[in-house]
Amino acid sequence: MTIDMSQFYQVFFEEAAEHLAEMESLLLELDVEAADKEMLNAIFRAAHSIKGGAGTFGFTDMAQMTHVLESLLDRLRRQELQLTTAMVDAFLDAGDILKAQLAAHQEGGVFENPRIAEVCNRLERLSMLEAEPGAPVSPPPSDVPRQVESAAAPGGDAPDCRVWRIRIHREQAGLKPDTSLEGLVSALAELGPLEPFTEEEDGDCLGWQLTAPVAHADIMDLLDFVCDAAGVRVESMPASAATDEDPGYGFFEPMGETPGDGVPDTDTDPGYGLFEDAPGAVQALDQEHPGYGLFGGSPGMGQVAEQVAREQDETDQGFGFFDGAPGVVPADSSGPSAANAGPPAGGGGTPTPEGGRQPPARRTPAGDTSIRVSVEKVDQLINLVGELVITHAMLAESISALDPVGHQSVFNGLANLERNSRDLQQSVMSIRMMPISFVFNRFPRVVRDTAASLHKKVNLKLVGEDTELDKGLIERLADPLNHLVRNSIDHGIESPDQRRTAGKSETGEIMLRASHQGGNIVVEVSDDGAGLNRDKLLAKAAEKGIALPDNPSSKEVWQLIFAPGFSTAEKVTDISGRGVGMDVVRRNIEQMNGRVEIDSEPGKGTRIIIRLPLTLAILDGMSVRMADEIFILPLTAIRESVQPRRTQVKTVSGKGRVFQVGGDYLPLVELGRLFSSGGRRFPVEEGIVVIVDTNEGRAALLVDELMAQHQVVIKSLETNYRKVEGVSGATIMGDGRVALILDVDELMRLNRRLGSSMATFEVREQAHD
Amino acid sequence: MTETAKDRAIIGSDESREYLTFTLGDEEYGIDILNVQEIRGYDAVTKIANSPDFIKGVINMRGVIVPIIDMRLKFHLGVAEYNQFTVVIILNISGRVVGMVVDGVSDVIALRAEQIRPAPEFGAILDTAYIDGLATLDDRMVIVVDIEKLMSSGEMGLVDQVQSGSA
Repeated sequence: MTIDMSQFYQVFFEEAAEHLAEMESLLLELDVEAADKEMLNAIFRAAHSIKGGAGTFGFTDMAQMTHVLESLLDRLRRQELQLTTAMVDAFLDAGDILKAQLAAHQEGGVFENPRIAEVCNRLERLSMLEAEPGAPVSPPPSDVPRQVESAAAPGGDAPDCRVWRIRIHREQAGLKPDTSLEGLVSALAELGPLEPFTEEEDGDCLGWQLTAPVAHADIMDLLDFVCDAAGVRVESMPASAATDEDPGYGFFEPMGETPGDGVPDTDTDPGYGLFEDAPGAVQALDQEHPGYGLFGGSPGMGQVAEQVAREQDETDQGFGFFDGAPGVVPADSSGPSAANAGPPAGGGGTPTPEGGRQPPARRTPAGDTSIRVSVEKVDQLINLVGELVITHAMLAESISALDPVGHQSVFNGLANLERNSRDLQQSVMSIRMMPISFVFNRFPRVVRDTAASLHKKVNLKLVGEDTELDKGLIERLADPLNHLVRNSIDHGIESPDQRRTAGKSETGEIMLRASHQGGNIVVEVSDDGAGLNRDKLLAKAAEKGIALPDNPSSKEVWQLIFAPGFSTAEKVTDISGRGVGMDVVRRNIEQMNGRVEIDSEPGKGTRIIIRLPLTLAILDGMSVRMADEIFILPLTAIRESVQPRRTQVKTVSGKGRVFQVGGDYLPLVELGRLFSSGGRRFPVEEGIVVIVDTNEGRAALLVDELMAQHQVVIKSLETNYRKVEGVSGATIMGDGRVALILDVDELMRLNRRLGSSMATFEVREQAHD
Repeated sequence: MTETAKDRAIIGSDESREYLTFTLGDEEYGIDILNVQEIRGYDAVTKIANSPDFIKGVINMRGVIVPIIDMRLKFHLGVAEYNQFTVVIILNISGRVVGMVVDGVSDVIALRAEQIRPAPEFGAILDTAYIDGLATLDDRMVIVVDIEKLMSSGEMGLVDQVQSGSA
């Protein structure tokens, strides 16, 4: 079975991950006060699909988890319970555990964590305890579930050593007469001293007395794995009266000891009046599942029975074991999967072989028109198309020497080839494009959790989630954005009190906005918090010994937070102290050929703007010549180009040179000198100056000649070589030669390091202020 | 039992490995042939700014950007002249592709472990750490280089070392 199934594991992993993501986003959208029924249904469906898959593939831990999750969800969507924030929290935690379990299974392991049991318990408690007020009928005074609950209530909160009396009625509990309970007994014995306890001799009734510091729900959890809650009585007794007959206990005696009542004779037993009012319940039971026990502790009979009937139709009985509310286990062995007494503790509840071998009853989502392709294949395709474009360029270059008149058809063919290969390139590139919502979608959760742990109120607003960008960028954007958002919540948004004093609404707002601007993607993280503190930053810079001009502009001060080791040194919290610092954020963004800008206003908030190229693979650039070498300058960096006059070039303190354009003096970056490409020195007038945007402001780049505009395929130098300063990558030109792609920001840094820096810099400051 | 016997055989003398030998000036070097991907002629390279002089630049090898190293410059054997016999050995060092300019490729030889003698200290030109030893073949002496170790070493500057270069 394992061999057959393993080939589908990957499909399950991917599907389950998708369902989990969907579930989480739905949960976060859910309005606790007025829960949308459709959304609850969708969440339920997601959980159910995971459960189905997990059951089929034998991931019992996940199946169990979703099962518990699902039973609570089911009650919610049937509006038997009122949704509470605690439930949403529990759902989210359960989702986290499922994710961890999924990841563990993917690596072939099993996720073991006490949290699993804890969350399971929480979910179960929520579905059981809160069932009371929301129960559709007013329970009669002798209502058994209530009796059990009330007995549990004191023990549930303060789990000190208590004496519990556990009685299981074999028939009512849906146990076969020959079912061994050894597993259960040993599990119970782990909790504390356990002694068999039998009242009047009765083969059908089993009893134990357990002395252990556990809550009622814990015991019920154990029992749930084995048998139907209906046939189980768990009562707490005063420790002193452990051996005495509890006077209150007498109430239950008729129940436990009358095997004749075991088969649901609901009309005659006043204790089960609850179910009479649930229309359809009795019929459902009588007609279809005569062996079902009573569903004590689990009101909403009608729904359960109905669900069982429905699910049996739907799922072709594949996962009978997991279906329905806890404790819905067919009593007779003719059921789809017999309720075996699996190991009751932790990882118990293995699906029976019969159940496991059934073909999966997966509901194929309607209208699914997408296919799954591995990213490598797409990348390979993109590479090949890139090669095609290069080959075309080579061809075009070699036939350009031909006489157009005599070779009309060749030229036409080549023009067609060009058009087609461009189209092909664009379509292939679009495969890699994904909406940015893939990154954004995680943030409602991030914001919710971070804000909660900091006791702040934060609203998240997402704008432009449909903006598409390269998948590679999306993946690499996640970490920096995560850090920025956490930073905003931690340092940006003030506490509710401070906000009130400042005259703002208590709830802060964080906005994530994505949009296209020219050939760029712009992603903004803005908050309406306190803004950056200029004085504090300056003091910190002085302390760190970071050189700053005398009267720095705001932009320069804000850029300080990107300095290595600067960001959170003073105010490390568990939120933004860990993970990447702001310098890493900037480095990450710059590695993507992007840039980061900050805008901040005290008291109004901070805005961090990330500009990224549309894709990592292709770049629009201008080829420039420097001596014999061709370089590519990204078009996004180019402002304008000017024919320099000698008078425009000024020397500052003998070595640094600046270039005057308009009223501004820009640092002059001489590519020839930086790259020491040798060659002769020629007068400035013979070159051309390109004004470029860098993250330190504008700069003038002196090159020999502007060649042409290209769309180039970016190749990494680092694949086989290492990072080269001033160069962001390489590309292959039409003639097959390699051209390096310039990185203007690094050129600026290089320029400064190579000596002329300080002087140029100061002049630029004066020019700016 | 059979396993241990086999192991002993490898440690023992029978197992020989193949080496590609090439010449640099008057010297003959040998490298493990398993690291050689292909041998090609010398093409025009694109220079890389501010790199050591032995790194000639990068070439486009069927869409892959490959750095080219001049071994003569690296081993301080004088300035190489490039002519039509100059060849580039394309190496594959644990997934990274690197080209190496040599004067000529001479042979593929099989050497047994005991044929390779430990090399004496040469001084600073080439650290003996990168030399497996010296082998004698007829009258010739072949310097057996651990090319993998050499190419991934910090002094070659082919791989980003921690904080190499940049401030």
